[in-house]
Amino acid sequence: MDTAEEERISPAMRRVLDLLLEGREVPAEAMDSLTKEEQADLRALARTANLTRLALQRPEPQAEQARASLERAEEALRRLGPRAAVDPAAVSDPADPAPGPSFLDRLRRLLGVRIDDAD
Amino acid sequence: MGAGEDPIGDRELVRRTLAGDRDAFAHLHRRYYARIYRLALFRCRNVPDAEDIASETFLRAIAHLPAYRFQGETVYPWLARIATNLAHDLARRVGPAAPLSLDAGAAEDVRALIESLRDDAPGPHALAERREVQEVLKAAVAALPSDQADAILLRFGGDLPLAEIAVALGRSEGAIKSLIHRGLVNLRKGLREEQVRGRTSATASASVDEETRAPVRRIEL
Repeated sequence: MDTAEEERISPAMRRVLDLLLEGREVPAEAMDSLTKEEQADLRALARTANLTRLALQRPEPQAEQARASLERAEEALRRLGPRAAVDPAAVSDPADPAPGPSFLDRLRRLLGVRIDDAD
Repeated sequence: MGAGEDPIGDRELVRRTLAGDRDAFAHLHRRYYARIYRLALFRCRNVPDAEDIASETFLRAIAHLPAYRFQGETVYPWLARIATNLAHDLARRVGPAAPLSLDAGAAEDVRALIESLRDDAPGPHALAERREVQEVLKAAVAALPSDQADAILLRFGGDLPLAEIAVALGRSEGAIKSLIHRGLVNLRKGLREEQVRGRTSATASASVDEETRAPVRRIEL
């Protein structure tokens, strides 16, 4: 479909397509607002999507090959041992950032003040 | 399925893997090996090469893991990129894979494929098990413009949500929606053109027309 064709999609159809692609529930009234032709187009798309998903999620790999791949990978990991991320923030959960140094710590560092364990 | 259905997210598994936890890596491998294998098979269309590429993908990922930066919540787009690059390298060395052709499946298979689109139960599952039908569908995906094919592969082959596909392809979510929609429309058009060219029966044409009159049932994109 070219861009011009896409521009011909009605706002109602666009809304339903957006909801479906976002994996959200389509309210009945949104579906009812489509013409019969649009409902048919939607059904055709859904069935194409269904069969495409089924076809692209096959075949299953050989279990033996998957096992051999894992063994090679584990051997590589064993050789490498524990490693540090180049940027730890790049693999940490952004919703749970590691606490940064406190204002006092930053001030101490700036002033070169050394804090003994006994302090 | 994606990391969303598993209680341990990819970030945590990557963090533990870097810390030397091999079980964590095994978890990631189980989660993504089949998808990477299928992607490799789609790209190179040769089982031994696909197995090699899938295996090498995980070795490369291990080697580069310390420098990896999460952009979304899963490592799949990164693994898919490694596998795709390996497939391209292989094609450069030994020549491109034989192009997938819509002629690959027998006319009867295409007819059955299109007829299956009339009804979502129970035909499509049984049909999709058939290698010829998989070939026809994959050929149709391969014939799409590359950005549409990538979006379709990540969505339907990788089960990625829009946001992750957007990150993987460096596009907005709106652009990804458009690519998937256009990809599906073009896929369907490609399959129907097979009928027009006479590779499928007149019955199939009638079935597609009939489909447009059937009631809407469950819809999922």
